[in-house]
Amino acid sequence: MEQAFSPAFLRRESFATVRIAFPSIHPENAAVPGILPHTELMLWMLSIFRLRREPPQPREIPVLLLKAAVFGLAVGPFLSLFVLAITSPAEIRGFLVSPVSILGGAMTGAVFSLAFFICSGLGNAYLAPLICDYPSGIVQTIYTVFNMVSSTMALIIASALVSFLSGGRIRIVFPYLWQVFGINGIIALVLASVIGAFAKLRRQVEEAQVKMREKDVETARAQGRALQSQINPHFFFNTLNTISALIDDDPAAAKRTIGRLADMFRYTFGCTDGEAVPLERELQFVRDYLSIEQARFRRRLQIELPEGPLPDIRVPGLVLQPLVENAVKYGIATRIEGGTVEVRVDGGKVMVRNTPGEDDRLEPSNLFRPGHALENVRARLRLFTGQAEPLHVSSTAAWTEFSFETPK
Amino acid sequence: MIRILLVDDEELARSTMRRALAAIPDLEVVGEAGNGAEAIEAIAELRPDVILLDIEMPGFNGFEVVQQVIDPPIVVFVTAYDEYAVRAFDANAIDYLLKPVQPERLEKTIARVRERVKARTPEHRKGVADIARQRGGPVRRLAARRGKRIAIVPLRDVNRIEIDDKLVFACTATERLLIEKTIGELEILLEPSGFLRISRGELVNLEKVAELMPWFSGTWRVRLTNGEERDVSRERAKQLKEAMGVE
Repeated sequence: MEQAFSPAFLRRESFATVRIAFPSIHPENAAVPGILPHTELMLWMLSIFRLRREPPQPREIPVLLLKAAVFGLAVGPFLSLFVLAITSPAEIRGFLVSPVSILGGAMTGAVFSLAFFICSGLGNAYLAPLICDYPSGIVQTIYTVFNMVSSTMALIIASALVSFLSGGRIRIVFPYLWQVFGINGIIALVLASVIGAFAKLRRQVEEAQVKMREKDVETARAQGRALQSQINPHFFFNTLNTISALIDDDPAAAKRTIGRLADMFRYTFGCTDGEAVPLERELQFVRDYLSIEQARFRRRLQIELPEGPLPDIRVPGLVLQPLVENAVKYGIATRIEGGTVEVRVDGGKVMVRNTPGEDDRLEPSNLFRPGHALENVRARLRLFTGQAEPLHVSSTAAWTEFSFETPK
Repeated sequence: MIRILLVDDEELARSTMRRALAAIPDLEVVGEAGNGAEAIEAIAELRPDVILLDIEMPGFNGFEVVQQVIDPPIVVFVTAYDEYAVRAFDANAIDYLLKPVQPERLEKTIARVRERVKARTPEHRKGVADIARQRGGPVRRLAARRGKRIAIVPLRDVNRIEIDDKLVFACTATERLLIEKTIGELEILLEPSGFLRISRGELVNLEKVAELMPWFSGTWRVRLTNGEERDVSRERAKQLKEAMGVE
């Protein structure tokens, strides 16, 4: 064995191996960017535990240790070769033809890998479940500091081990030991403060975003108010037209229609945003609306409304009439022979049905256009019920139906 | 005497209009129609000088009526509320009335109509046809004759349109309906709706074309989704292939 460790390469090995772990320490290398190779090496071992919230089970540890050792054995010679290529390219040839040198490289790799694994890797694994609930800024700061300290420890232990295993034949020299501590410490501090500052910044951005979202909701509310408090202009003008015609033909009916229109406006102005009203009041609004439309459409409009006592449910103000108006538009106005508009109540479920129109286009993208009454109803039902899709659309050959459930 | 046809789907609106027009001496209301299909029929039958045409109607709306009628009379559009249409009318000097109709406004419009009846200016008709095309969009339904009645045929049901003994027929899965238009007029009218002329006497609905296969001496043949096969003339084959995106 004595022979085995005698080649010139191995005598320089200790120094080279130190640099495998900390290439940044060599004064010829730039200090900070050099941290990367060591981090990369660690990542593989860290990846074993990364996504887990629990530390490894004790029975898993032998396998993990074996993995680390195999990794070190496999990578060691290549790293030695790499370091040689940087420090003394002339010796590469000697290294490649000497199995003993390669074995020495592998052994050194395994020792370092195991040392890093036990100090840093396992430490990280047991640390993860303890800190995973903290904000990510704090988690990263703890990891950074811990890894700096633990990897420095691993370096010292591994170097001592290599020296011990080679029977003192490999001299372990720490010409830069204090720099190792110093630079590691400084890097840890800088990284920790940068990450901390970043985490703080991110928290501020998030707070600002939350505030903006709240403002958006408020704007939407205001918009809802503006939208809901107006009666569809088509309906309004058609009604004026109906009244104008009735004044000559049937003055009493004209008066009645004006009274109903007045009731509708009164109800509209009285409804405040987001306020739930008893279903009966919404139905009265719908009755006023339909009786005006009936003057216009005459026999073409058949109406079926729930009769008798209604279940005691509340709905957001002004959601029912736009659904009924939509039913009139597609089920009556587009059909020469007219059809039926029906409101049904079943428990907490409210349904509005109409005879299918000639070209009902029931895709949601067509139905729910921004600024459109149905989209407005959907948005308000969403706020009211908390459901993502509160308005259900279905159709058969006999009817098209819009329905929603009121919360219990 | 100016002969007027009233077209509105609301009885009330028609009666109001009738009463308002009765106050004007040189007018005669020759007929009324309660929907687009009736209007198309009445225009062909009565040949009025002027139509007062409501826009919002079931079946065919006012714009579609204009699209479907060959040689339409002078048109006055009537609407209760259609800000986009009104903007287009103003920009193109098209006559229109807003409901409820005010007597002064009606008199002014009728005065303009009198001028138009005298002059019979083609610009007016072109303007109306342009607006109808813009606002009516691609034709989706055809007015066809089923015996004595006017039927509305959705174009998606029409496989092809053919000439048979100088008459034009729309062929659906179940029937053949007479159309009172020439094949040339239909070719122009239905081009935006996806119909293409495949020979002197035939148009096909591109949506119903299942297969296009080479036939004898440079001609082609189309197989429709219902299994029918029709000849495609040499000069139409290229257009058909382009329309189907194969060339």
